[in-house]
Amino acid sequence: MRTSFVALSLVSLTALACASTGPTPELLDARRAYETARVAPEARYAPERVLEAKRALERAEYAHANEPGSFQEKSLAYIAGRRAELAVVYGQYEADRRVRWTADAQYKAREDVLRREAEKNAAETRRVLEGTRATLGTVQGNFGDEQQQGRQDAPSAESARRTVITLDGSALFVANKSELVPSGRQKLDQVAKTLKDGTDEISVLGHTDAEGDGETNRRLSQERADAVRAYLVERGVAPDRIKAVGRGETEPIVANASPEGRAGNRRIEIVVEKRQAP
Amino acid sequence: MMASLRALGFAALLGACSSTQTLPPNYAPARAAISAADAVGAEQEPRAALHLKLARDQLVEAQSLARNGKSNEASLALDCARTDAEFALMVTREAQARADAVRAKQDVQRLGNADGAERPQ
Repeated sequence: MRTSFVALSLVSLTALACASTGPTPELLDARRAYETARVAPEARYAPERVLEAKRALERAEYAHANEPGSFQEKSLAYIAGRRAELAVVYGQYEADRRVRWTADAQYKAREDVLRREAEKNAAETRRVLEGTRATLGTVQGNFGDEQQQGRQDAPSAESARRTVITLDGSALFVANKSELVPSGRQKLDQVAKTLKDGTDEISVLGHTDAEGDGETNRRLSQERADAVRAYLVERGVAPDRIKAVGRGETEPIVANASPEGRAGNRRIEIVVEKRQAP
Repeated sequence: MMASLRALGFAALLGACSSTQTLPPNYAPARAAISAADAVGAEQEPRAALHLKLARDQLVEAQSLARNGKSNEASLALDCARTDAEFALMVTREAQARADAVRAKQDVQRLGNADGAERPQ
């Protein structure tokens, strides 16, 4: 009986001792949390936090060794467990930030590529536009040249429609008179021969130099034009085709300052114009 | 004799008052950690909110322990409160960083899609 009591007492004491010296649930949780943190992939971003958790766990273990089940052990184990979880969360936080940095870098790189492409496209568009403008300028220039050419061609057409025969007054008339000289008649014979068979309108314009009175010059020019007209009619040109106009000194073709200039201005112009179709 | 008794009573009262009002030196850091977690919006993050509540409860417990003259226990409770508050803070920041990362990845994807949409097949 005594032996049984002693044995039972020993078992009870041993069980009590084991119960009292075993780690608290907090410490067990802390150990598990630390192991989880130690091997967590995110932990590589938070080595210092893992180290803090380890030291916290060591303090809890120390407290457990010194005073198992104590308030201190539980508190330090609680702190150690939380530190271990904190290490994992911090590692995840760092991982998240790296993901964001990478995404931001990708975004910026892609944005740069798109910007460069846009700039390249804009440059290409500008180049095409400038080319188009240059082509347009050339076309407009050509068109302008053609217009100018057209304007230049117009007088030619006019010239083709209108023929002016200029005869030296000195070679036709006696000085200061409207009387034809023989050499002048011969010249007019050639003109009459050319014009008599046609239907063109003929204007005989008399011009003088600027010497003397203007009215006198106008009258002389008219009389000379009349004389030429009369001679041409006499030589076969239809009178209804031909008219005579005295312009006097009003339309010089050279300056009257010199004898040569004045001689050039004394002249008869026979203007032949083709009749326009009705 | 009466005067001595009165002086002794006053001293005892003074000691009692000082023991209820004196808090461990780690009270302020714990309090600051709770404020910091609160400031970053830990209340809005369920997991963080839980730990913020634990921190506040432990702060109250620490005050109670201090009032009862258990300064060592109060100090340990304050360390626990501070750790929970720091944990709540980090959980909140992590949630925000995760949301930012998701948004940044979506931006990259959207930029890629926009780029593709602009290109003719």
